[in-house]
Amino acid sequence: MGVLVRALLVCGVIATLGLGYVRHNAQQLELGRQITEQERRRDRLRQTVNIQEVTIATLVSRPELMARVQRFNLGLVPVAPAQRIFVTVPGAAPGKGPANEEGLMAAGPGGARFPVGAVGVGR
Amino acid sequence: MSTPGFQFRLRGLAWMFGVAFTVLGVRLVFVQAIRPQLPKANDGTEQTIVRPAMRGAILDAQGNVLGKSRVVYDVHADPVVIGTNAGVLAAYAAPILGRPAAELMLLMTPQPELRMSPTNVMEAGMVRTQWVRRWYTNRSVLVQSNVEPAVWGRYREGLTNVMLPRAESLAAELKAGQKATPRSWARVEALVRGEATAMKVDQQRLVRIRRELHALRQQQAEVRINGLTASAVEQRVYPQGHAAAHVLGYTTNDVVRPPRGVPVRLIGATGIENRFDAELRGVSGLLETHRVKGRELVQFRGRDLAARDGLNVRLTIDSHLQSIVEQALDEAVEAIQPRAITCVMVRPRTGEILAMANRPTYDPNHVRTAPVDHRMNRAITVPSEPGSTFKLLTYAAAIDLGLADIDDLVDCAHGVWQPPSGRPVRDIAGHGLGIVSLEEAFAKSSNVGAARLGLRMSPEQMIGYMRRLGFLQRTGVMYANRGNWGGEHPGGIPEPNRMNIERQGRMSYGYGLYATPLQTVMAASAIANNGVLMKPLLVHSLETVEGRVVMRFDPTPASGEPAIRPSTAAQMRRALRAVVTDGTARIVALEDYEVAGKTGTAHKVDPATRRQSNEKYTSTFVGYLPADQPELCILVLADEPDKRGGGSHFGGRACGPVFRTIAQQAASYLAIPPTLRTNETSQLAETLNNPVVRGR
Repeated sequence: MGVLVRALLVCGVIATLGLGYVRHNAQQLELGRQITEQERRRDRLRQTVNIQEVTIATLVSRPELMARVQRFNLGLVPVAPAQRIFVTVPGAAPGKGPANEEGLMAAGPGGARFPVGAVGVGR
Repeated sequence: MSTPGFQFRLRGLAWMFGVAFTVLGVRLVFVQAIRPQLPKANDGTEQTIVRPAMRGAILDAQGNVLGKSRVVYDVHADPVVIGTNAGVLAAYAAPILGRPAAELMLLMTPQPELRMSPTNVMEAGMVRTQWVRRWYTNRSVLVQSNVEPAVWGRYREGLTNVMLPRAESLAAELKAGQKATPRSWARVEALVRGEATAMKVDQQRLVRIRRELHALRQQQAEVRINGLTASAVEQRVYPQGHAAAHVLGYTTNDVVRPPRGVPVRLIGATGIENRFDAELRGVSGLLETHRVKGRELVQFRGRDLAARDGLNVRLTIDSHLQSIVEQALDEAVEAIQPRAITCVMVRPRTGEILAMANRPTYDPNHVRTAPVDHRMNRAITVPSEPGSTFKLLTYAAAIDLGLADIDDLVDCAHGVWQPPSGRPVRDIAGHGLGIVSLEEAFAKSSNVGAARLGLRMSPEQMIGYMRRLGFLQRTGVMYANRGNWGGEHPGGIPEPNRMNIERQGRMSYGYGLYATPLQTVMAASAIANNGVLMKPLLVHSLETVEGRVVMRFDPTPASGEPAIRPSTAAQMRRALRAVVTDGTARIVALEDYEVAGKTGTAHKVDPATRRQSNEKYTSTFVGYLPADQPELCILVLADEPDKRGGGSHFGGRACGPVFRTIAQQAASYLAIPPTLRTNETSQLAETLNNPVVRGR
């Protein structure tokens, strides 16, 4: 019986190896299929995002916004310079204001000047 | 159960199993370890896929998109595959692709033609090429380009419902036939009744139908899969339309017909697209893999290199300011109907170009329809005689050389002055001046004053100052270290070796030399910037898609030392201010800001007569604001403004209003503090700046 058990054992091992091999191959194929599918999905999503970005860029472009303002007839006009009040902030370091970061506004000798908003509603 | 015979058989069986499984085991080891069944080279399964890199975007200073790529599809038809089914497929695809079905059907129909083709034949052991006539048919016809992925997805989704008409009728016939066929017991009965022959005929008919239907279904699948195919292509989109079109440039395909499977790449043809093509383009990736029956064997992938998308180019252009300029130019085209008009807006302290626009212009989204002259960036490629705007150089040079002071007096000879040699110098009829200060002569744009001042210096001195203020040479705005100058014109003096008093006198007020609008605005910016000429800056930085700055372009002075002394610049600023307060450009004065600038009007040379025309002019206004601390320098140049219908060809009248509109809106957008205030707002600002603290 010892021989029989050993033979069965060997057969069992070989059968398990065979099944393992088949299962492993099947898993590889399945994973490969999944990888391909996911990559395809990722590419599709990238394309979608890309197209959405272009669409957003078009929608927020100034010609588009101006056209919409005109279409809705909102009567919006740019703020006139005289409607802005600039306040000198004592002690604020010149060149640190928000406009200065963009290099747009020169600071006076007494400190930085910041626009605090507009007065009036347009003209 | 334990007889010797049984034991023997059992052992025999065990041995048999043992041998069988050993063979199987050996084979397993062989297959898995010793020689795994990897796909081999040249076995037809290998495939190399190029992973295309996406071209980088072009952004404005605030990060708004000016140019970007997106993936679209080019849809091709294979008329040979489609064959006689063109009608069905065209009817299905027409509403989705948005093209008439008749047009599609025509494209999908095979059109064979006889062509001569070369064939190699062996003759006496030599290979000879022989031309033979062969039938060819169109296999890849472009049906629709720039199809959005969603549209193509819709086409693919609905495709399963497309049935070839013959297949439909056959399927119905088969179904009816199967219904009519008697059941098995009924068949026996029919045999008994002797109706076997009739039934056999029926069966044969059904088999024929089944076979035909099977073939048709295969054909149907082929038509569905390969009838219309889509290839992804990169499309460049410019969301702001024609805004900054000349700066951005446009792209073209690198090859007209790429090999199958190789994606078409975009290459920059002009503008920033061309100058930064290498950075924008990115690096394509590569995938080496194996594919069997359309299915990729991922486990056998070889090299897998991901694509690296191109860098984004962030410009110094502000799309809002650009839009203000574009709108103002459109209005100017309506009002003064020039042949062309150009505007450049610069930040004098840094040399950053905030806006640059030309008319005529084009939409880079539809570049093929634009005439060539509409695509020219006139601001840098078309030089012209600057006229009186050049006087700022003459005056600056004379003052800087210590030959004059802005308060010195000059005799303008009431508008006509005879220099030591050559023709007399004349001012505009009726606008001659007597003995006035240089400031007044400059403000009122006296040619006589400028000529007398210009002739105080030597031609070498004048040319030296022209070079110091950036004339007679390219500015390098289109990044000259990238192979070429990007079409920029250096301007110049025709026949510089034949300089004489007459020519030098004419040069003093802007004739006999050529300068681009960019050179003129940069020279004016140098005066606004205390005499320091900056290099024009169009690109702020190069960034990755994630926004990480890879390279920054910092503002740089054009040379190590100022072009003119600060004291000279201060005197020039006073003179430029006087042009707007008391001179030829009173029209540009703003309510809230002190503006300084210079007008220019130059007669154009008539190509027919080769003499100055009295009908055609180049009108210019270059100015900056606020006059004391300049934030913006703007040039407007109109080529041949139409003076009919109440218009004017003078720089102040033709270009001044355009400057005014742009300056007012730009200053408001940039929140530049007003330098001229109304009483009401002054009081409010005073109160806010000096609050009264009540209580303790």
